[in-house]
Amino acid sequence: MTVHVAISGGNSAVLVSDSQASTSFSKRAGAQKQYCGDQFIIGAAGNGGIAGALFEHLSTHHFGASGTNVLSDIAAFMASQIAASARDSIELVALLLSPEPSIHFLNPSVFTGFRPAGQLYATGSGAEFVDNAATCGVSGWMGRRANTLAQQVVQGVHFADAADQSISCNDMLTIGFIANGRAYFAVDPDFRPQYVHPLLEAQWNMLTQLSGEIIDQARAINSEMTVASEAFGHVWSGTLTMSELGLIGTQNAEIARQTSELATRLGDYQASFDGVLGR
Amino acid sequence: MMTALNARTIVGTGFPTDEGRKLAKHLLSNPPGPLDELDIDLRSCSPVLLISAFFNGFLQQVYESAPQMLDAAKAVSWGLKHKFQQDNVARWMQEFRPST
Repeated sequence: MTVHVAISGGNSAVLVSDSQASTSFSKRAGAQKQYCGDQFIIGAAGNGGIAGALFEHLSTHHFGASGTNVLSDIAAFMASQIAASARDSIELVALLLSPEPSIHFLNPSVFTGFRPAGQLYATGSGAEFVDNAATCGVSGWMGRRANTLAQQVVQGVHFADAADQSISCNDMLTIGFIANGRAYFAVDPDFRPQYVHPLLEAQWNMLTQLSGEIIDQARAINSEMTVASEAFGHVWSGTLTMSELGLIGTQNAEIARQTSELATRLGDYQASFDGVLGR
Repeated sequence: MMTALNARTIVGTGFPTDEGRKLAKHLLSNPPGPLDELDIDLRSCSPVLLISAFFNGFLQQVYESAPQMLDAAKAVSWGLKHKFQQDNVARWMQEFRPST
C-alpha cells in the first residue's frame, strides 16, 4: 500500500512517496517506490514484485533515457513482461521534464499508455487522505498552487504526512523532483533504496544526511503554517484579536524565511547530486 | 557544570506552544539545576514540534512564572539534530519579546 503525491508548476515538479509495503496481514518500512533516472522520475503503487522488476529494468537499460522514450518503453515493458491478469495490480506516475515539468500517470486496468495529469495528482491507498487534506478543514488552503520547488516540496510533504493517517502508509518519505533540466531524489536517512545509480550509492550517506535536513525543514515549515492556521481559526467564532493577528504576521515572516532557506538547501542538494553523478 | 536532560521524557506530541510551556513549567517546578547550565536534548523530538512556537511558548511561560529567570532561560543549551535548527533557535532566543 502506498501514497504518491505529485505536484507540478513553474519550472519544477515533485513526487513525494511513502515507503510502506503491506499485505493483508503484514507491513514493513523501507520499500522503494520511486526510480530516479537522469531526466525522469517514476513512481509505482501496488504490486511490489512488478515495481521491483520495472525499477530493475529501468536501472539496467534506461537511466539516461529521455522522458518520452521512457514512457513508451514502460508501456512496452508492461505489455510484454507482465501477465495481462496482473497489470491492473499496479499504477504508475511519472515526472517528465519536457516540454515542461509535468505529471503523467498509467492505470493499466484502463489505459495502455501514460496520460497527462493535472498539477496535483495522488495515487495509492493514501490518496483519499491527500484529497481530504487538499480540500477540507483547516489545511484546505494547502491546496493552493505551488509554483516553486521549495513550495512544492513543503506541500508534497504536508500531503504525504496527511496520508500517514492511513494504516497502509508510513512517514518514511522519498522526495523525487525535476528542476533545471535534471531529475533528483532525496530519501529519508533511515531508508536505503535498492535501485539507484552506483555513483549515488557510493555517496549515499552524504546524500541522505542532506535529504534528512530537507525533509525535516519541510515538516517544520508545515508546522509553522499550522500555528498560523490555528490562530486564524478564531475568525470562525468572531474572536480574532490583535494578538492572533500579530502571531499570524510573525508566522508569515518565519514561513517566508524558512522557505527561502529551504530553496537554498535544495539548490545545494542539486549541486551535490550533480557532482556525484558528474553531470 | 552543565546538567544534561532529555526533553523527550517531558514533552509530548501536542501543540508546539503548549509543549514549550509544559517544558518551562516542568523545569521551574522541578529544577534540575540553574537554567543557564542546562543542556536539553531535543534530538529525538519530531521536527514538527521544534518550531518558533515551541521556543516562544517556553520563554513566554518562564516570563509569566519567573520573569527574573528569562535571561537564564535564553541561555539554555539545546541539543538539536540539524544545524538549521540550531541557527533558528539562536535567532528565536535573541528576537523573543514577551507578550504582556
